[in-house]
Amino acid sequence: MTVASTVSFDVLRLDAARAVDTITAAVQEQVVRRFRKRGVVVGLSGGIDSSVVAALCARAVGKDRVLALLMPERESSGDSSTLGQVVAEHLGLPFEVHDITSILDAAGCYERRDAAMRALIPEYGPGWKSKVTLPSVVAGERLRIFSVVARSPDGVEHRVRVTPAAYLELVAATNFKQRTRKMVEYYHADRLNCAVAGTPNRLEYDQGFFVKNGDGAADIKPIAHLYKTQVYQLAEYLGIPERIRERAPTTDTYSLPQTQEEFYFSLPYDAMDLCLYAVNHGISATDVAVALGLTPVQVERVYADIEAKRRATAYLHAAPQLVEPVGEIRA
Amino acid sequence: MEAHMQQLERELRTYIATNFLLGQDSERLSGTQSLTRGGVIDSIGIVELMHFIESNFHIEILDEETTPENFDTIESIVRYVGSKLAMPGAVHGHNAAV
Repeated sequence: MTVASTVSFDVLRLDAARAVDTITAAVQEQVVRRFRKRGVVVGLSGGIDSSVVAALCARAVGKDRVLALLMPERESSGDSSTLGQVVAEHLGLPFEVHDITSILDAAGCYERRDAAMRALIPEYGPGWKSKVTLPSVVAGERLRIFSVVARSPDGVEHRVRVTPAAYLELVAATNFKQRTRKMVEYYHADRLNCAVAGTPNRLEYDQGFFVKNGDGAADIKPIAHLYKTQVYQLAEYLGIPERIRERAPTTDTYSLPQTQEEFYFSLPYDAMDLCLYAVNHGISATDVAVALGLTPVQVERVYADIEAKRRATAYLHAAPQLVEPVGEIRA
Repeated sequence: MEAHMQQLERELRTYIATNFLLGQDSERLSGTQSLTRGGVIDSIGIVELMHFIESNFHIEILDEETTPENFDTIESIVRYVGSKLAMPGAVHGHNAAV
C-alpha cells in the first residue's frame, strides 16, 4: 500500500523576485534610514549564504557601497578564499583579503586547541588534523554526544568521546576564529561608517548554529528568515556562480574537512529544512517521514533534537540581561 | 544491595543538584522526571554527568550504552550504574565518602 504524503519540498518554494524585493527594501530601511550608515561590510566564506547576502546588499545599497572581506586562516580550505574572490569579482564588489592566522596565533587559538586535543589523544601533535562530530540522530537511539576525530600525519584515524573540560576548551579556542573575523569586519565597518551584515539562514539562526559575539554578531541579518533551500533558490535567481551553488555546506572551522551535518544538524540541509518547517507548522512526523523516506520514529527524533537545540542555544540569542528595564533606551 | 543502590542514588542526586541546579534541593527531583526534556541537563551536561559516573564509580560507559533508556532519568541512571557495578570484574569502590 502506498501512503500519500500531505507535505513535500514544494512548501519551501518561494517567489524569488518578490523575496529579493522585500529583502532589499528592508536592508535599505535598516542600513540607511535606521542606522544612518553609508554601506555594508560582509565577510565572504565562499559559501552560499554569504554569497547571497553580498548580492542582496549590493542590490540594496549599490555594489560600490559593499565591502567584501575574505578572512582565511592557515586551516581554511583552499576553496574558501578562491570562491570568496570569485563571488566578489562576479558581483563587482570591492574586496580585501585579511589573513587572520597571525591574530589567532597571538591569541593562542591553535596552541590552546592542540592542548585540549592532547588531553584526549596524548600523541596529537604537529601535522595532525581534527574535527568534532556527532552521531546521526536518525541512525539509532543513542544520545548525541560529541566525539573528536583526529588523523595522524601517517593517516591513522582516532575517534575519542570528549571529556567536559577538553570539549569546552576545544570549542572556546576554536571560537577565536569566528570572533576574530567579526572583529575584523567591525574594524572595516567603523572606518567606512558601514553596517555589518550577518549571514545566517533560518536553519542556522533557529538552531543556534553560530558563535555568540562571533558570526552571530551583526547589525542586519537579511536571510535569517529563509530556509536554506530558499537561499539556494535566491542564489539561482541572483545568478550566483554554479561553483558556489554546488558546493556542499561546510563549517570550515576545523582542520579536517567537516560537513555541517556531521557537526551539528541531523540530516542534509534540505531534509532539515522540511523538518523545521513541519515543526513550525504543526505537521506530523508521519507525513514528513513519507516525504523524506524515513520512519516516523526517526522524524520524531529529529523533532526532539530541534526542540533540544532551541532550548540549549536560547542563551546565544539573548541580549545582555538587565535587572530593571531602562525605558529611555530603545534597542 | 538495597542500601548500596540508595547510596548510589543519593550521590547522583547530590551531583546533579550541585552541578545543574546550583545546589537546590535534590530531593525535589522526581526519579522519573526526564532530565534532558525537562531542561535539567543539556548536551554538555550529559557529557559532564557521564564523566562523573565513569570517574566516580570506575566504570566504562560504552558508546552503545549512551541511550535515553540509560540516562534520561535518575531512576534509569541508578539502574544502569547499578547493573554495571554488578557485572563480574566491576570495581566496587568509588571516590565518594560512604
